[in-house]
Amino acid sequence: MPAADEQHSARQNPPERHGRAGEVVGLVLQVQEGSREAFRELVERYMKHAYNVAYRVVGNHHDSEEIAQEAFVRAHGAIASFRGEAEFSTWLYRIVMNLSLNRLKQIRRNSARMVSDGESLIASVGNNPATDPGNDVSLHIERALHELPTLQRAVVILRHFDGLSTRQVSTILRCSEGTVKTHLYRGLKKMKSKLGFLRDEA
Amino acid sequence: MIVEHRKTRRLLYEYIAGDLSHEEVARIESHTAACASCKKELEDLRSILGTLPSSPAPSNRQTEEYWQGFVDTVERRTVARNAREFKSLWQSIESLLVLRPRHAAVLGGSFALTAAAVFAWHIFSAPPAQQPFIVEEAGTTSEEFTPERVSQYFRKSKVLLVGLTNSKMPEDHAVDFSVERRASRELVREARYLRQQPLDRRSSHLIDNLEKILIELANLEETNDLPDVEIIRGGIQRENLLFKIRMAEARYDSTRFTQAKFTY
Repeated sequence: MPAADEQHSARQNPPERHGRAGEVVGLVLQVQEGSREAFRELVERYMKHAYNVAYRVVGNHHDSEEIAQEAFVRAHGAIASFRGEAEFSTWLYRIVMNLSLNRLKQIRRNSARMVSDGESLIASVGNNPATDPGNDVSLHIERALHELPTLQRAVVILRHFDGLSTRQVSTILRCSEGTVKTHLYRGLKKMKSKLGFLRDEA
Repeated sequence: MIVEHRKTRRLLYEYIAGDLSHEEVARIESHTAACASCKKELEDLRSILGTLPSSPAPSNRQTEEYWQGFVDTVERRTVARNAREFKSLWQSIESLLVLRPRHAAVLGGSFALTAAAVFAWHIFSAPPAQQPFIVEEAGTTSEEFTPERVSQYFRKSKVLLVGLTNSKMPEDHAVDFSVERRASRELVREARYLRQQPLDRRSSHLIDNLEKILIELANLEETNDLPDVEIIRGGIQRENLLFKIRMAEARYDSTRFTQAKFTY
């Protein structure tokens, strides 16, 4: 059964709202000392965010699951080097975003090879009909997202859909806050033009 | 005006989300009130943001059982990765030692030699508890000699010695003398330089006496060297150093005054 608390909201609670920063810092310290329970709790807190970000970038369940799991495994491997300069969520998101963008590049390369088979990029990175619940609006939104240039998509996903602050997004994507604002505006504007018919229908 | 358009449009999202300061909100509202195109942009953005939230998060398509399994899988993968890393580290060491015996012998020999050298150094060298401060020969300095420099030397020495004489020395906890030691070292260096300059006899004699005290101070233990401090304090009183310093300061201040008078 889908989680009821997120049923009708694309914009999720930002990760900080899942627990006070102090709690997360405490968990990270425990993980650094070798606590498996603390690591499980960190995974539970952030797994859906990691999965959602990955899904919105790569567009399919299989890759998103793999990316989210791999991000946690890598975070665990490197947690000794985490010094707390940024929030843990920002650090984790950077790993997720890097893995997602790398996977996206692979998908694009593969899809370029499949052009002769008549498969489009959108189709290859879009929803898998087998797992899609049949929600047309969400399908259209995901497709509109996938048609955005990479950086605009990343900004829209992190800032709008995952509710991170402009500063956090700029840290994750290693660009200025001005760039984040510009790409957010442009990205949403493009989505507006692609999704205009939904508004008309409504 | 174009700049204002661009700034406004970049902030429209934050404006709708309510993430802006009062000043920024006022600026955007005054601009959109006067600018029809930015006002339309704002309305469009509002409408698209009104459409987007109807999309559920992708994670909602998975069941709670799936997410429980997700945590277990991550944990399993983490353990497997750690085991893999440990194995690969061990294999690297093994391959170094077993497959390349010559390299292993060289490595082992180097290690043994290094260990022997460190051991010998510990046995035959003096205990490295604290390096005594050795007075260096006066270094060359680019600064020109001036009576003010002599006066400054005496003033600094006075401050240091007055501080040392007046400071309380508790017996129950450690006292840190690192600042005093550092200041003394600098003053001893300065004294070396000053002694090479044409000074009057009394000043040279005072600098000599001061130097002895300052060297003792520079060689104090880092902390808790109270008996030595008492000896130094005794020396300061016995030699009546503070009085002599004040007299010397007065002399050099008057010298400066005289020079200034001649200059004008």
